[in-house]
Amino acid sequence: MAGSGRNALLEVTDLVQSFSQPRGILDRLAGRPVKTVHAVNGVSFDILRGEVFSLVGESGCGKSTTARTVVRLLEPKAGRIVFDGEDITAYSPSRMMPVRKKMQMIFQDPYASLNPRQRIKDIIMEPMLFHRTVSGKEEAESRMLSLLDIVGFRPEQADRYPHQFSGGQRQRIGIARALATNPSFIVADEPVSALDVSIQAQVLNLMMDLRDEFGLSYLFIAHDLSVVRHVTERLGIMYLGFIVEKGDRDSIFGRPLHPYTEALLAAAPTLDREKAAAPLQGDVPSPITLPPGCPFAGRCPRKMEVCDARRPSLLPVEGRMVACHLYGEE
Amino acid sequence: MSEYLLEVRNLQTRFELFRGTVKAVDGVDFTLREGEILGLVGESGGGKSVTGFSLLGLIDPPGRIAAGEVIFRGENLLEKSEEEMRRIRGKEISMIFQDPMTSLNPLQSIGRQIGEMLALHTPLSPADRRKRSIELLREVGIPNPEDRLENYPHQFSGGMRQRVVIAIALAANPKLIIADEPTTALDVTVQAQILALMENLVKRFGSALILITHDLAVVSEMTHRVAVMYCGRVVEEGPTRELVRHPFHPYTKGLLESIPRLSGERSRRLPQIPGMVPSLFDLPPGCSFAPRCGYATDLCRHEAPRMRAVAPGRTVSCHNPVQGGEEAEGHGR
Amino acid sequence: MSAKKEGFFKSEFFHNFVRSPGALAGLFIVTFFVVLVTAGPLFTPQNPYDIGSLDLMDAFKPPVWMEGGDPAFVLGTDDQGRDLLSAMVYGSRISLFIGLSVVVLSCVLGTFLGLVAGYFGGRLDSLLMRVVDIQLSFPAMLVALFIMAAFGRGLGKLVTALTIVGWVLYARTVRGSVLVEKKKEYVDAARLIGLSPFPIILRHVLPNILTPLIVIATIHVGTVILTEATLSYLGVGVPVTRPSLGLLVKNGYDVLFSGLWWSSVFPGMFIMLLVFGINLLGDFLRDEFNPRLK
Repeated sequence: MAGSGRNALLEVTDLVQSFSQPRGILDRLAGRPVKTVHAVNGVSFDILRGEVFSLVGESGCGKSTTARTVVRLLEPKAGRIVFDGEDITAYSPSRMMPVRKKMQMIFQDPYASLNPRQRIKDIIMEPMLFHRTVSGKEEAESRMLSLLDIVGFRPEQADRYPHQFSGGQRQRIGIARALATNPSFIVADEPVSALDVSIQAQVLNLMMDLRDEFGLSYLFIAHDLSVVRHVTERLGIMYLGFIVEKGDRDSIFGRPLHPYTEALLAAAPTLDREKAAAPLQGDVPSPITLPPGCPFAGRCPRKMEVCDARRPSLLPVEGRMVACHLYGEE
Repeated sequence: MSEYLLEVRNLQTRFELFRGTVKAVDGVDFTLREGEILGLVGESGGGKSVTGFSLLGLIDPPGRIAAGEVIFRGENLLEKSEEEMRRIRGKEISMIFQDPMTSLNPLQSIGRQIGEMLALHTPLSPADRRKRSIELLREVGIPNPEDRLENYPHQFSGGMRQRVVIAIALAANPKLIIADEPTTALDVTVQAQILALMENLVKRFGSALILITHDLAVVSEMTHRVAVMYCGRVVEEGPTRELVRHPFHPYTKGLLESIPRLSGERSRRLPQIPGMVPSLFDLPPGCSFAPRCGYATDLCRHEAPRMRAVAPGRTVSCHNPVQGGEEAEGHGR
Repeated sequence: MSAKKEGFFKSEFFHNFVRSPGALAGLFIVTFFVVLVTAGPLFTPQNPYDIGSLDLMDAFKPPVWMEGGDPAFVLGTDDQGRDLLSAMVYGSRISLFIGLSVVVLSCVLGTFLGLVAGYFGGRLDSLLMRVVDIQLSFPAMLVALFIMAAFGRGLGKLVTALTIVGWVLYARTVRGSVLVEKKKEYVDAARLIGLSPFPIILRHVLPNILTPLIVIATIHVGTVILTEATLSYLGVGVPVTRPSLGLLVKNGYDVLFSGLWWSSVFPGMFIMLLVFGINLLGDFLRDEFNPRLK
């Protein structure tokens, strides 16, 4: 169940994020309303110290947006973010500065997450020098070299540029950069989705080794359930900006309750099954006009009348939280 | 006539680049029967996409097909002129690409694009073409096809667009469809729909399918046979179910083991293949996989292995195939 | 570092450069002009700006190989009795100076505005783009003409006018590039470190948008030289005492059709040659830096 209290490193409560699509002059003159993309609609979760928590879902579900909002790359529209005991929801850039040392991010695209014009040694030293977590250039260099060693590079490679490395190597450089200021919390936004299968395993193992060695917490964003199952302790399944099921790994994978979770597990191609199950029909609806009731009602194979009318809340069922009218009281 | 719809023998495709010559496809052999689904699996740089393009003669300079034979229905495609190939593309052999947004013309309605395919390869009248287009759209599961003929690609979601692409590929009822990562850009639930659709249609229309992908799991659910590629060569080939359960080549075995599973035991560390895929400019001597292989011997490092049969229907390119095809560890199953 | 120098001469860029006839020709021409304007004045038979050394009696003497030619004036003389060859050398200097200074100034101004507009977006961006759009809807020539006619002739004024006309090209291109780079994750990573906008713009974004700038700047030099030539031809360019190549063309134009062709044609050919050389280089750079599909 949700962790709370002294041991929670991160507490996110009712987080809301939306984007308004800018109207052209003609639309404004015609009086057309502003279109808003409701990306995150009241998401809550906690992450304990040293824990891996995942947000899983398909494109457009809001998981990446949630992650970016949690680290304040985007300003939340509503909700609360409490990190290491501090309410950072509305911190100004200067107040965020000391916090930034403690939370870092690993990005999805190894080809866009490193500045092509910076040598990798500078990429890794930049955060250290900026935050003065080292006493000077010398200490920065020695720390940089030790980080490179941890992620599996030789010292000679420090002078090279990103384009001289493969996708998997670049991802490891990104990990070294994230570790530069000795953070306690790392957001990993689809860290292995763009990598080849054999490299995925390497990077995942590295991330888990680092977690063990440095006591890190991860917010792990992914769409691949089998990857998530391997690394996470607890997870939340997202659909259209809502968390529809949340709990510990074994409960959810062993016995998924929410119809969408079931569908996701059934749809995921896997070596364990011989035949794919009957797939879920329909497409993910647009986050511009949210359905009034359950966000999944349009595609749910077990939909009831109430599902179109009323939005279900997250309620504790069988050891995890589910937002579904099939469970819980009416 | 041969029992095979397609026989590829010693296909070699090279790219002459500034930094050197890349042997993207370096002696690939495989066969395909009518109505069969073959999975061409490998990681990036493995040569699978280039193989697909080579079959259709779609290799532009600085690439060229250096050697080999592509025998389709008894004729070597590599010996045909561009004009002859144009008649074959679309009509006999169709291709589906990864990104539906760039494989569809954003400025033309989908009705027009299907119609164009039909006009090129069938003798149907415009009225019949329209009827057939609607039928095709219905086959691929697009609701209200009559209304949607006039729509443009951007008015469809990613999954719908890929269905349109499939409709176009099937329009002239080709004998062979080559699908290059057709679902990689799609969400998981949509991917499942598209794969089910493809499997269904391919069976109904009686076409053969070459499914090119990096996703072994997709391949294991959908294909009859699999060819695994590494650095431009096929390292192992055989019936899917058997290959996945009992791989012979260490690369296949390593790959299968490093994929996390959705059920069963999970171990703390994923078994991983050490090292990295070598640069195609700088392939190691002997077997390309030797530097990463736990079973490599001196022979492996000096002499490249050749494809040979190690069991009925199973071929491997390896000096020391995994003995008896040990079951790929499902993390201690 | 020696490793870097070695690297350049082995690079694909260098390899392609020495194999491209256009690029080599362009480099040769541009180098010729650079040498000409730096060392030329030491060797010209006459200093055309020294009014005392001119004699109106020498006006419109034909080139040395024609009847009536004077070996002292190899390519003939212009309407003021200036040795055409010397005038062309000094004129090239003026033309190149104008070309380079306008490009440097408009590049710096345009890049700065483009960076700011692209990175910060919002109203600043809208405002800037409206200004750019409005200015681009007037022909550059007309704008420059208007400014020069209003404020009179002069080298400084000319450079200013052409800079005002020229910055929009850079601003627009830079803004577009910034929009693309802004979406890339390395910019997010920089923000996540806690860097404020200006260090991010200067250290992370700017180095990555330089490539299209180099191409544009190179071709822009040629454009400026031609524009200046046209303005001078129309009488609103450089002052008469220090003629650029364009002004020389004008001066000889009046008598062009009475058979005294050389004082227009030779400077005109020089302009053409210089701009051609610049364009050859620019074309090569543009093709080289075009991201190629694998």
